[in-house]
Amino acid sequence: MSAKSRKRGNARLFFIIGLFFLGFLAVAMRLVDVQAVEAERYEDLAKKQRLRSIEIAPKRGNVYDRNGNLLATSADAVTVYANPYFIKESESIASQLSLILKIDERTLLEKLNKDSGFVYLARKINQSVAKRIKALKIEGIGFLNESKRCYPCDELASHVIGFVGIDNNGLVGLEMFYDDVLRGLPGRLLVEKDPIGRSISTGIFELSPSIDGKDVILTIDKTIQFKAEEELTACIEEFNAKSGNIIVMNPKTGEILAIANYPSFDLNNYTQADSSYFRNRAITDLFEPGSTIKMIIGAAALEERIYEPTDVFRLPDRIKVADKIIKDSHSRPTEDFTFTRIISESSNVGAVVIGQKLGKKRICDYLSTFGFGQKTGIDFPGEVRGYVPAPEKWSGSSIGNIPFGQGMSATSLQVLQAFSIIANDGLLVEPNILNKIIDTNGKIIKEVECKQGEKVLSSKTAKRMKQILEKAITEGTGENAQIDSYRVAGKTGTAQKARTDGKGYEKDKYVASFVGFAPVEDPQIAIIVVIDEPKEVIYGGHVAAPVFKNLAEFSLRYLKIPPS
Amino acid sequence: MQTAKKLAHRPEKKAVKRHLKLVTNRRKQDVSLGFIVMVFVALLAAVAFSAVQQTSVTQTAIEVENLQEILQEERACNQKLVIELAQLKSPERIQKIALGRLGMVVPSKVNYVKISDDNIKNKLAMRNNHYEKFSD
Repeated sequence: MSAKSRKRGNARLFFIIGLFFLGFLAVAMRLVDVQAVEAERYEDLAKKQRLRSIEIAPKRGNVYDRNGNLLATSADAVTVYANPYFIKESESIASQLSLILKIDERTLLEKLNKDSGFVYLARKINQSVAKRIKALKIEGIGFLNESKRCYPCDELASHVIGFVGIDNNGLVGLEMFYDDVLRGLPGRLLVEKDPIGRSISTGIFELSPSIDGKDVILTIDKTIQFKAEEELTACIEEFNAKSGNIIVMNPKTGEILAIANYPSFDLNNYTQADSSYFRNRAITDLFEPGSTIKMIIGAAALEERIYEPTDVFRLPDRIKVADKIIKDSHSRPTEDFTFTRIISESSNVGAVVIGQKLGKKRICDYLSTFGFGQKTGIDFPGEVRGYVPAPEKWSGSSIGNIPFGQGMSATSLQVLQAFSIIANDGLLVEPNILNKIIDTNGKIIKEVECKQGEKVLSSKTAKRMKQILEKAITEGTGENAQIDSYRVAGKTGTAQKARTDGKGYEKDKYVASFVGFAPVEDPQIAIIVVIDEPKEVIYGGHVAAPVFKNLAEFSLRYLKIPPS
Repeated sequence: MQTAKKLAHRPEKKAVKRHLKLVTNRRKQDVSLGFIVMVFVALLAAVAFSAVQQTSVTQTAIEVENLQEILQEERACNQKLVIELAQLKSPERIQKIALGRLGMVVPSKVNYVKISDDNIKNKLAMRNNHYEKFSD
């Protein structure tokens, strides 16, 4: 090769290298421009284009009964949305989706043609349905992972558990009361995505994980709850009643084993039920308790040593108090009643006589001591106080109706709590539905300990009252509540319903109730049965007592409590 | 003669000198060119290697994402089974099947007898009494 041609070759090489150098220089300058001079602007633009901030919804905690049976849980669900600006051929898409989602084609078409960048098409649908839509690969249709609340036992304990809204916030019942515990905390994922929507592995990936909600274990026993609901429904149907409720409680610990309400509703389809059905009537509704209050009047008289159980009263079947005539439920000649018999056979006249001796102040004090006119403190939303008129607000005839439970109001739970004081030898315990709160690893976060109740009545009075209430079952109005092999104590109640306009009482509307506990020697369960507006038969001893018997008999055997 | 010889040799020496100079420059050029080419090749190789690695990372990331999707599906399936299990345990359903489909009946009430120590002693005494009588 000649020197000349070599020289020419070198020049060409240098020219190419120079070109490359210039090229690199241009790229480098552009890089400096992009990465330094205009860096901030481009960064913002790029972030907007690639970064996606995704909220990670926490898994809502489960609800279990005392034996670990699942009552409420959350399942993965998919929400389908659309960006109408990207939708082409909306009519055919609407018809395709209508078949899969089973939503009216017109409704879908309306949504798809909306002048908006985001519109929900269907919320919280099954994964399998979502998969079918995904397979269609329609541009402008997107999917969000959400969770859907499921209640495997449908109607069971529906009033107690309650339900959540579309955004998983508790709306009713314990779902509402323990919403903070169950809900958890949402997390956030900041991720860089490619144009197809896949995450870029080397890109930004910032994860603040969600904290799942805690699980709640209730004191409710699924089996007793089922039996309570079954018995209540059968009773309501038999007596063609309007509504009713039952509470089963451990009188020593205050643990609620069951709360049944009628009418009931399906938690998985609560939107189809009337909103009045959602009330947990045993806690939120008031009624005039009727003769069950005679127990408190009797206990007060014994505690104040005004009367002894064996004291005898000569009683007519009616008595005039102010402008009112108070009658016993059945006509009878004037006869002798012992103090015990007044309560066991539920004499209104006798109760008024005892009440008159006690006086309005002491009656009010004892009603307050037994928890009337104040909340029990149960962990449930919407509890009401009830109404006991203050002594200065009593009318002339108040002394003639409050001693047998009219002219005042209470919840079923208050009445049951009052009877539990007798069962518990004078100790008042706070009722509770929560047993434990556990985290996702099963670690106990909170455990409700059995509190030592407050002594509100002497043991002697409580024991004497227990014997009187046992008499009410063996010889009195509560005979239908007797259980083979077990000693039962309780009291019947039949109360007239007050008129809604406040002018006296309804003529043919009654509330029949029975409240009792068993076994008398060591009470393990206390039950109240309240039936609203039974037809034809109205007495608590005939309507509510048999329900108590069936439920108590079942529960005692189920709980393996030895016979008396 | 000697002078003639000297004269004859001189130009040759000059030519050799010039030739040597040229050889020295070319070697320097060859070395710098070789170096540039090598660096260029190394850069290309690095770029190629990075591209291959990037592709492999991206592919793995896609696989991870797919696996996560499968995991999510499996979790959903598991949840579904848990719910189904709880539904199957529903007392209402069990009772309906037991009474309706299987023709079972609610058991008659069982009366339990509480055996106290006194009961046992009395029973034993009665039995011993009976044996004593029998042996008489």
